[in-house]
Amino acid sequence: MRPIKILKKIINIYFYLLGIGVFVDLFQWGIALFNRKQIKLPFIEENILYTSTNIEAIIPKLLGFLLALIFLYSIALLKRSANDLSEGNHFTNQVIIDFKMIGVLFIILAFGELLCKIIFRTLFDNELGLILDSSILILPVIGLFFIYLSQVFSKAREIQFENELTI
Amino acid sequence: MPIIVHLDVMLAKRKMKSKDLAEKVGITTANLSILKSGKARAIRFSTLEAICEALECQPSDILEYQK
Repeated sequence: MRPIKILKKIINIYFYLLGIGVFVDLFQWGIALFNRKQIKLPFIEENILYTSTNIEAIIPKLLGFLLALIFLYSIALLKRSANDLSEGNHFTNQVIIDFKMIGVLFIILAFGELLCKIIFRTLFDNELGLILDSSILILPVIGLFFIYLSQVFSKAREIQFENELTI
Repeated sequence: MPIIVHLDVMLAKRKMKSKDLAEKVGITTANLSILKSGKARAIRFSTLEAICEALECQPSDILEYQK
């Protein structure tokens, strides 16, 4: 099996698992809100439970879902690109735009997560500190790589166009 | 592009149809049309050689540089 076919399958599986995960988490949060249960908040290190209906618990949870949805959307774009690439449509406009968008979304995700961690850890944990974990460091690197890949594909498309018009 | 292709002129001089030339040269009529209309970005020496052979002419009869 060609590597792109394996990659396509892995991305497809990952996308659906991630989608189910986000949906289940959203569903659980809905139940917690309905029952006024105590929940653990994202972006915070300490294992303190907060009442789900409090506004200070709703905001980080909503932002967490927003970042999760952005990540899910970027994986959906990656899935679409992998489909195009596996069908042999390498340098299409769609793939170039999607790669650029994935790159931008990954960078937004990294900065969003970093900002949320700084703000909420300062507010809830009462400690001001920059915690550099793997996602904050790796996501911008992958994002920049995708933007560069988009530029490479754009150049390749120009060369392909010239090659097709060479008689 | 300042390179002008006079393929239609040569075809008229030799009283040859585009389809016949395309067959002799071994390219599609669509590609020959791209070449005739001046939309081609480049031409291979092998194609130019085949066209010159089919039309019994020189490359300068087909291609012209204009400022």
